[in-house]
Amino acid sequence: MGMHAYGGRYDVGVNAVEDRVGGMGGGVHGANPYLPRICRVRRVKRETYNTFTIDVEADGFRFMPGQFNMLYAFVGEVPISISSDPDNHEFISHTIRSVGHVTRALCSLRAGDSVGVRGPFGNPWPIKEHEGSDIVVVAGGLGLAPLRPLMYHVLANRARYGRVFLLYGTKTQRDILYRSELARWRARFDIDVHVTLSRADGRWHGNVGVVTSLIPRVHVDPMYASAFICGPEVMMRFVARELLNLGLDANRIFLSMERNMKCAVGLCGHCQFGPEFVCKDGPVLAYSRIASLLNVAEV
Amino acid sequence: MSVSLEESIRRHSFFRDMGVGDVSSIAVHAKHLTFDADRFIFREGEDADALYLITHGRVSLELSTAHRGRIIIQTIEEDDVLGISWLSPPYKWHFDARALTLTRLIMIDAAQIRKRCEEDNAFGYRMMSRLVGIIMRRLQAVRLQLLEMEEM
Repeated sequence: MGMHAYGGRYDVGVNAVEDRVGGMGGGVHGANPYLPRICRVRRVKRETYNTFTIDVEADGFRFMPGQFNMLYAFVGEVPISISSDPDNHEFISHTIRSVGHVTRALCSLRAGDSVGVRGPFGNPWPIKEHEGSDIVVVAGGLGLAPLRPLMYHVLANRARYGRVFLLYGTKTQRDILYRSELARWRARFDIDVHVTLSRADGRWHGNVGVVTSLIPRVHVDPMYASAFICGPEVMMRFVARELLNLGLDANRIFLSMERNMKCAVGLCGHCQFGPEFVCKDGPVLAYSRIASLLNVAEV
Repeated sequence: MSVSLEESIRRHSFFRDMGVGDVSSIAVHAKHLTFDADRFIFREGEDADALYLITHGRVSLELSTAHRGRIIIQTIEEDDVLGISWLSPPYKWHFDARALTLTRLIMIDAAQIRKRCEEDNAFGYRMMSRLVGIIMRRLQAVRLQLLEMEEM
């Protein structure tokens, strides 16, 4: 699921960022992609009980929707998707769930603190290549974070796309990310936003059920529709299958994969997924390219 | 011109491709119902005596528990089918069904559907094929829900 949900599970030791391959290039901030740039934390916002968005000064940083950074909290390093607006040149955001010692350290940062940033890395969502298409965005849990820059891009260039659907599924009401933003998007007349919970109590009057249960509400021209999915792998499999049933082309369905990324430049092999290195060839991959790998155990 | 009950049934996705005779034979055992928001349509343990076609609104399937209050298992809405427990004995509802918004339904007498299925096996096959499709979709959703709960 992007890089967010399990950041803590894949906490990387500090040695991973040692300068072992001098002058190799790859990151945008200098010749050495292993060397983090020290950035100032501008703001830390609590999104849910265990998830925080950390804004750091952009200072010339540019990225594409779907890319990720390696964040170094001086106790280790984790891959985290960038969740801010790619057209915002003042700060970049990372939405992080506090689940391991590195992500806990990141989530305890305060404005004015420093954090190491390497990136941006990875393949972006090919959203510009799909101008003229209907757009289906499907997010599960923290998977909404890497899709948020894509949403910003689509909404900023709304006239270039056909119908736009955002389907968001999460566990419970208290796990909903970016509430005020979702409410704003829902209030627009040019996008359909549907939210569902896996579990709810009597105070919730919205949808309850898995995110696939929202797919019948997607009314697109399957010949000209493209889908962008991020969430737990099993959810992405089910969603992709439902979208194929709807008539979408497997080449136009894109998933953001999560694996144990360490070097972030396709050298160490920790994130290998079949023939792909998720950090370099992904994290965004076409469903047609990886469908056969998704049901292979322990790939 | 108002739409007849038979036409309303035919417009619902469950009956959309069924023959005129099938729909007519069902319509004589059907009626329109409206529930205000927060009203129960049926309660767990009551006789499962109807198939409901939702024509407007949203319905939650839920359980009441001593420690956690009401837990919503699933929501279903316009163009969905509510209630399949009438298909097999003991013909009792397994969950509460509550209207979350103003909800309009078409209620079809389940005993009459079963009787018609017994008498006309071809009709029975068409009905069961549709119902199995719904059951399959809901089963897959529950499986995914279980997996997701662990991962999300």
